[in-house]
Amino acid sequence: MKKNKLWTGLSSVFSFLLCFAIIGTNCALGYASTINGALGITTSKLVSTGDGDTEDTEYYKSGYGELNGDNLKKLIADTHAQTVTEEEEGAVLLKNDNNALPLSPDELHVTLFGHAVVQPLFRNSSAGSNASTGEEGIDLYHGLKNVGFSINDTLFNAYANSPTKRGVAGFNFVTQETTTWDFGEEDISFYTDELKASWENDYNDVAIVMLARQGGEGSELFMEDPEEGISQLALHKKEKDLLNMIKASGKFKKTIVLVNSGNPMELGWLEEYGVDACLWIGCPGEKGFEGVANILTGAANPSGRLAETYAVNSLSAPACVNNSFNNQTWTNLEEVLKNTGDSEEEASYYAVQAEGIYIGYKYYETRYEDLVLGRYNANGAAGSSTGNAWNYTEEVTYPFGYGLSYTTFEQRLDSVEVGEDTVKVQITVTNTGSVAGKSAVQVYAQTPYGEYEQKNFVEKSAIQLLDFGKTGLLQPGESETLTIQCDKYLLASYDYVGAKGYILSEGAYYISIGDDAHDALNNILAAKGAQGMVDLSGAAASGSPEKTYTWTGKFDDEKYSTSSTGVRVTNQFDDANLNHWIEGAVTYLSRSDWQGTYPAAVQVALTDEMMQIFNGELYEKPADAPSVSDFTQGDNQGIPLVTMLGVDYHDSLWETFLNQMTIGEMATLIADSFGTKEVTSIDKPAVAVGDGPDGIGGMVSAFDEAKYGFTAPTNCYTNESILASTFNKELMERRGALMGEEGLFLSIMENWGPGADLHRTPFGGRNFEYFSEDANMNYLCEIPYVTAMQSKGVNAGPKHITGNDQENNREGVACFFNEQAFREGSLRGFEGAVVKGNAHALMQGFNRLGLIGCSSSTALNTQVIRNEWGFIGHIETDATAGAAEGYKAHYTTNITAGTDSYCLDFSGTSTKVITEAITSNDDGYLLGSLRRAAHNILYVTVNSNIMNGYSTNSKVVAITPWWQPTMYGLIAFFAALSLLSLVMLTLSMLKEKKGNRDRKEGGQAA
Amino acid sequence: MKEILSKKAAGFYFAALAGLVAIVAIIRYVAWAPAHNAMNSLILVALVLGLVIDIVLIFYDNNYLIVAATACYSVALFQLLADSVGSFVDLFQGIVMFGDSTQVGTIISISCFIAVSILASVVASFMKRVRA
Repeated sequence: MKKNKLWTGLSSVFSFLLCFAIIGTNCALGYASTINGALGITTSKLVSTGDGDTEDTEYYKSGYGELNGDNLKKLIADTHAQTVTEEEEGAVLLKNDNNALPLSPDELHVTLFGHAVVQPLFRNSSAGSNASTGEEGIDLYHGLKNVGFSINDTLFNAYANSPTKRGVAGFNFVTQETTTWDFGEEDISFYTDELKASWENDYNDVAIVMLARQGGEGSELFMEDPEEGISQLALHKKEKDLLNMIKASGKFKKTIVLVNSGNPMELGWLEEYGVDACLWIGCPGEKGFEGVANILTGAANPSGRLAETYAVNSLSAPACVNNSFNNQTWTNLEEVLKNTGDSEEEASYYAVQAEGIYIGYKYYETRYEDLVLGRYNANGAAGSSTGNAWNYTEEVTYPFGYGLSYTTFEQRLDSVEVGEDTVKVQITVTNTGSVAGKSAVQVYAQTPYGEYEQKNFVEKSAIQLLDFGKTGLLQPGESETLTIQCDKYLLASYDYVGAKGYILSEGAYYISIGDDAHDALNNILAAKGAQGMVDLSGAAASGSPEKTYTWTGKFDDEKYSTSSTGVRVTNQFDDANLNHWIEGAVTYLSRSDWQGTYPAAVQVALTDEMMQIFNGELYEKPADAPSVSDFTQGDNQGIPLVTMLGVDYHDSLWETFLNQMTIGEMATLIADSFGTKEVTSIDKPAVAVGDGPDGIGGMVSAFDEAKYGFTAPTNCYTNESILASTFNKELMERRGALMGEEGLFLSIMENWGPGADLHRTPFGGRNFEYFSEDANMNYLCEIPYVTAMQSKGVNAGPKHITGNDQENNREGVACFFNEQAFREGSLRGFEGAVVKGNAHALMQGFNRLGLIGCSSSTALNTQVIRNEWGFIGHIETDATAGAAEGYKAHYTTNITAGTDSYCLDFSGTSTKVITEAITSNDDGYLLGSLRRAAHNILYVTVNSNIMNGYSTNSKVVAITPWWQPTMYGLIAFFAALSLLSLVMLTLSMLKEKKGNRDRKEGGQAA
Repeated sequence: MKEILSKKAAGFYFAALAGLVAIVAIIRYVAWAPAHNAMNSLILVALVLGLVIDIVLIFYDNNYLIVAATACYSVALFQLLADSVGSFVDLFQGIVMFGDSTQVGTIISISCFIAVSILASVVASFMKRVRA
């Protein structure tokens, strides 16, 4: 090879490598925080400049004492124990014929059926700890083994070796399909005679069948799945074949079904297949299967109660008509897409929440009452699963609040005192059975539904959860009296038509206790003297009127007309009602006429008027906006951030403090990438945050080995609906406290969680990380969880506010609703977290509220969250991911609407856009919004455990991560090689040219 | 053309292959990117420039030009991959958030075409493209 070809080739190779290094470095810098997090690099450090600081700078203390390896081990052990307890108290025993459970010591030779036994659903795919998928995760097999079960390994190993694998969303390179969804169950042909022989003579005490239903972030469960074109929550053919095979074999003394799902399966088939017992185990997290094993053996007595309705047919929920996979696309979609800057996915879909307040049990039970009382066309066929007259027992398998125990309890309503702000309920619970157990006490209410309500479209659930409590472990014969202070506010209804505010209705109010929502309603009906009630089986029920208390209330539109901040609570979301834009477009479900108002698919065009709002970057610099020069920036007074610890949010010192920062420094704070960068001028350290309702995930999902001498992943707790099903506020508080402790050991400023959205339909992909279908349940569960987490100096960030109740089309879906449904539904969980739990952070949903994205909604972020609720903290978008186009890129609109920070903005797009918009337009109004955002972010930063160790003598010093100089070194190296090879190429070409010329001249001379 | 080709050596055909494959890459990129908010003018310019250089090489062979063509295709490839990090993240995480995982197949196929152009350019760089 000629030398110049060699150098040409090498120049090409080195130019290729140089391009890789330059573009790769540029890309890596854009994701710097992600890389730093993955590598465990902190970009700032603390340097003390004082002489022998003596002040105590441990502002938030761990209950375990010093943050060291030994104490971390204790914490980890406690988190594991908590997970087991949550599972023991949250798993719900749905069926237990002839006391099939618990198993006796001579019934422990078992065969595990169902592919899920080798692919258990510890949790669904979403943010959070992934500890369960590692060595730490205890699956069903090991959970049972550890307590003495003998398991049929022949079948278990056959499952393990099978190529069958349950799958959710993903991309299939071969088929170019958007999903690799797979039902993940074995065909009946899998069970060969050889396998069947394995339980012929042994392992046939019990057939334990585990069935899984998996969703996840971005993965809604299918209303018509690819497997059979039926509800994913229904029993499928492969499962039917399996259950038939077990039943037909006649070998097993008992058949037990475990439902391993964050979503409610349709379980009306249990009798048909001879199932003796059924236990809903949810997603048990890292160690929860130990709790499942304890329940099976009786070491633990199940005390969980359902936090959602188990319908015979999941599609019978009125919310299913227009939500989830039944979202509609604009009838003028082509025109919409032509006129929008949003992507097709972001702009195409809308969800009309025509179900109003009637989500979950509020629908089934309310219609049941009206059916019993023979009114409001409740017996119509609309919404009936059978196509015939609507009938409760043909619609509901297990109601909200349902759950069995290995013992029996008697609950007595001792007294009810209706006070000015609370309803004090006293209940005595007695264990009337033969084994120790805990009992969940459920307090329900019914409020009047009269002429005023019907005239003004104020809907009322016939039964609504008011509060709950749980006894301690009661021995047989033992009693305990619980006193529950219920929040009277939850009796109020939002009247968006007449009073345009909260009202207390006139008429008869009822308080009732019951084993579940249906039972409590039957008690109220009995108190009303009604006839024709039925229990879950359809048998006649009489109800227990002595378990109710009633009083007559007067109409009151004043008591709750103002919030605790003194702000008048009135309509803010009229424009999210589709009827505001298109008259008569939606008929909301009303109990005044079940047949006539049952939802239908709503199909509309996006009008020109709507398009302007839908499409708009809504912010325009106000004519009277101040100038940037009207603000003081960069006036460093030498006040370090730590000085602001404990300073009241409204203290004027904050203004002086913010004056120290430049616009650029403040703007860096709004770009959150699982944390924020350091700002050395004010001694603000780089901070990390966690993400996950059922375990701390994100970039900080393991404890620092250098700090503690070992590493371990953060704990994966049970999914949120299991926690809700414990009906145990102490466990919720304990979860929050333990996650707070983990946050302390991880040194994170906040954690995104708990989830607070609704199980609007049973198909929600993230239902597993939201508490319940019931907004009041969400409200009540948020409070202890958030309060306890924050007591450790770890800010809680409930998500996703709000209306983000579906994963299908979640990005940009336009949700239309009426304000009663919104305030009493979607908003309520967050309201509890903020007003009662004092949450310091909130993460928004991807959806639109009507036409306006959550992040762009002044009504939501400023009027409701801050003004009405008195929220102090920062409000963050869901992942904008540095969007440059589409509705997520409305940065100026969002920040002026009250949004403070931009989630997963790795490249700092928000920083650049806001800085540019302020400086190029001399926009002081926008600068004011940026100052507000910086104030909010810094307030929650300084009032967190991040400041532990910082004093006024501390300095924050920036650290350049090692990989950055390495990348620059690579660029220099390849640049040098490229240059060298080009020089050598030039020299060799010159030499060749000279040689050619010499030869030519030599030839001519010759 | 026949006369031109008669003077070409094996390396030329690799350069020509690079150009031909680049045409496919350009067509695919232009057809795909605008519809998915993924158009980056740097990528398009780099691909077109690489192609123009390969066309120039038909008539005028120059060692620097083939190096430049390689660099152009390299810029296009790495920028496309850098722009697509979010889609790969979504794919591996099984979520819809940072990009569009459904487009990963297309991104990879376009990347493969550009990678072939790079490889052909590099091979052509080491070889004679015109007969002595």
